[in-house]
Amino acid sequence: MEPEQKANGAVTATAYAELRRLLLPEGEDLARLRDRLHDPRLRAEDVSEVLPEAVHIGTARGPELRSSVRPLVEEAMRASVQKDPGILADALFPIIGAAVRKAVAAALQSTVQTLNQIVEQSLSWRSLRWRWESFTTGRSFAEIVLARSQLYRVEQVFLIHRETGLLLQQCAAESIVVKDADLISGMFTAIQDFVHDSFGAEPHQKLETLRVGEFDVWIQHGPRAILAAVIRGTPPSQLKNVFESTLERIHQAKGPDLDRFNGDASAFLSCQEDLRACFVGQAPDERRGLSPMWWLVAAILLEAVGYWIYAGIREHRRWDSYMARLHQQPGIVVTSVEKRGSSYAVSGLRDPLAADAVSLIPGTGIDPKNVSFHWELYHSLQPFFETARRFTNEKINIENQTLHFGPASTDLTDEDLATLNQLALQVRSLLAIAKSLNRMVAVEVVGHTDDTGTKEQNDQIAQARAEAARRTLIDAGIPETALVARGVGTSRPVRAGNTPADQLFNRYVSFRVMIH
Amino acid sequence: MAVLLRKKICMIGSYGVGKTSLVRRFVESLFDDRYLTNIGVKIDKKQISAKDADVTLVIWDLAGEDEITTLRLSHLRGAAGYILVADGCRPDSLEKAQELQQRVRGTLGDVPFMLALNKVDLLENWRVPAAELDRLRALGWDCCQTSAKTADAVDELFHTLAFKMLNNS
Repeated sequence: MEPEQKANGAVTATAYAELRRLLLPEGEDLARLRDRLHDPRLRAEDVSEVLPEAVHIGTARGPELRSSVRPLVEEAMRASVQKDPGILADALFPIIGAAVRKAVAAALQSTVQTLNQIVEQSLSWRSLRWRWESFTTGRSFAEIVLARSQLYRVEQVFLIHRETGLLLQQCAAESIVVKDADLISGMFTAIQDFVHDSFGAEPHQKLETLRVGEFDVWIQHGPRAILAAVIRGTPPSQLKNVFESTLERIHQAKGPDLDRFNGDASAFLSCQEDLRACFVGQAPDERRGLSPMWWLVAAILLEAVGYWIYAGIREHRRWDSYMARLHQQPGIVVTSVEKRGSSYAVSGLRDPLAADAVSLIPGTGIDPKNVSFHWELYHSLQPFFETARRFTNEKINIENQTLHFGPASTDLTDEDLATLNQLALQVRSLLAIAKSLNRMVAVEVVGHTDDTGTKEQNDQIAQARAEAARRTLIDAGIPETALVARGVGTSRPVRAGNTPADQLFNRYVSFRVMIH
Repeated sequence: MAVLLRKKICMIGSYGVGKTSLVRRFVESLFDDRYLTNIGVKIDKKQISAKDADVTLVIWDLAGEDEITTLRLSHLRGAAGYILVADGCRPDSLEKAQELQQRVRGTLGDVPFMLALNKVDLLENWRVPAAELDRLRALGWDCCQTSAKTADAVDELFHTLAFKMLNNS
């Protein structure tokens, strides 16, 4: 019985297991699942498998995941910075430059615009030229101003391992002789240490610029490498951006190599291209050799010479036109003109009846003080002068005639009548000549008395004598309008005495030619 | 093609033990010795061959330490090795070298170094006992008895250091 019971028991257990296996085919898996639920490590593994996908779905679903993760990330970053600011600083280095530059560029934008306005107001020749360049190239005016007002050339660039001060790569512009770059880069580092230690600067404060004569050495610091550039001239501050971004690119591309550097610089050969990008510069403009002062002096000189030539030509023309006037003038023959300095001496022949040469000067622009004349008098045979001379002769003939009267008499004697007849001929001739000369003339018939009798009587007698002579001339055919009678009494005696002979002379009628 | 390497090494020691003279024996020079007194360091270089590599030793000759000048530890930064220089006629300079070694080790860690016991040409004045040298050798120091005047062991000094540095890296 007992073995049978045992056998039965075994069978029962086996059967039970079999039964359980049949009823619950995944019983073992269930046990495994139970174990899994109680093992934190296995649970963590499970979660890690689905976590990326879960985060992905959670992010797509809405902002809840983001807001629940944010405090964690913030706290982690804060803790990281507290522990070692260098890690985050190194991580951010490649992008921080670009970010800061962007912000600074935005801030500078307004400044540049102000600058633009200031420059716009100065309308110098140079600024006009820049403006033209800006217009033709499409670049902003301020950019042109910066580029044109600063001349510089990057001549050498050194990429230096920061930790050791050893040279990683070096690059020089054409025709630049480089002294030993290994030693120079070592000295750059040593000098920086020296300056840093000597002046007790903060760790983040670095030596950034050295200036020697016309050379600038600009040193750009990265966490693992330093870029030192030797620049001749006056570089614009934007050049710094070029160096910054070059150094950032090198850090991005060569970060691990910089960390591992053990003296083998071959890994950095490919940085040559980046370094080449630093060789920018504004080639000196040859035309800038002359200072603006020279241009000013040249302009003044040119203007002076120009004015001198202009004044010479102008004076020459004035003189020519004056000479032409003189030549046109009848009765004037210029035989020579001598120029002494700024004055002229004119010699020649002049008819006394010709116009005065000096009176022709006004209106020509010539200073009369600068001209002197030496005339020989002559008689011109030109018709005008013939006529003028005849006019003068007739005038003299007329004015030489006189009529004489008895005491208190106004009667004309036969002799007087004969004189008047001849005079009428002369007056007619004079009027004709005057007409041909385009002159208006009249003959004044003037009556005179001796000093006997009262003034009223004398004036009356004088007027009557003049009227008598005038009437006779009118009767002889002279137009009334050409004759004027006037009595002047005793005011113009021919002789001063009062003898009968004197009185005879003073009782007369005279003639005077009036030219209008 | 041989690998081209650059290594920074430092010359360290008391004032007047002959660091600069040793370097001058060994290198091509660009800078004037005045740099030493002006900024406390002068840099020279020498290219040598060691273990199938061309090594350019960039040698930072640091101003000797005395009562006034102290060693500028920042100049040590990044050095792959260093040479302690002492004057065989001045036992105090050897003591100083040991003290300096402690400080340099604190900054650079365990990088290869050499001890140059200089002025071996002045044997009649030699005052460093052989026992002292043995003691240092027992501590793992590599010692060369050099003379900048006769060039004794100068090449050996730099070459050995270069060799040790290449093994170390």
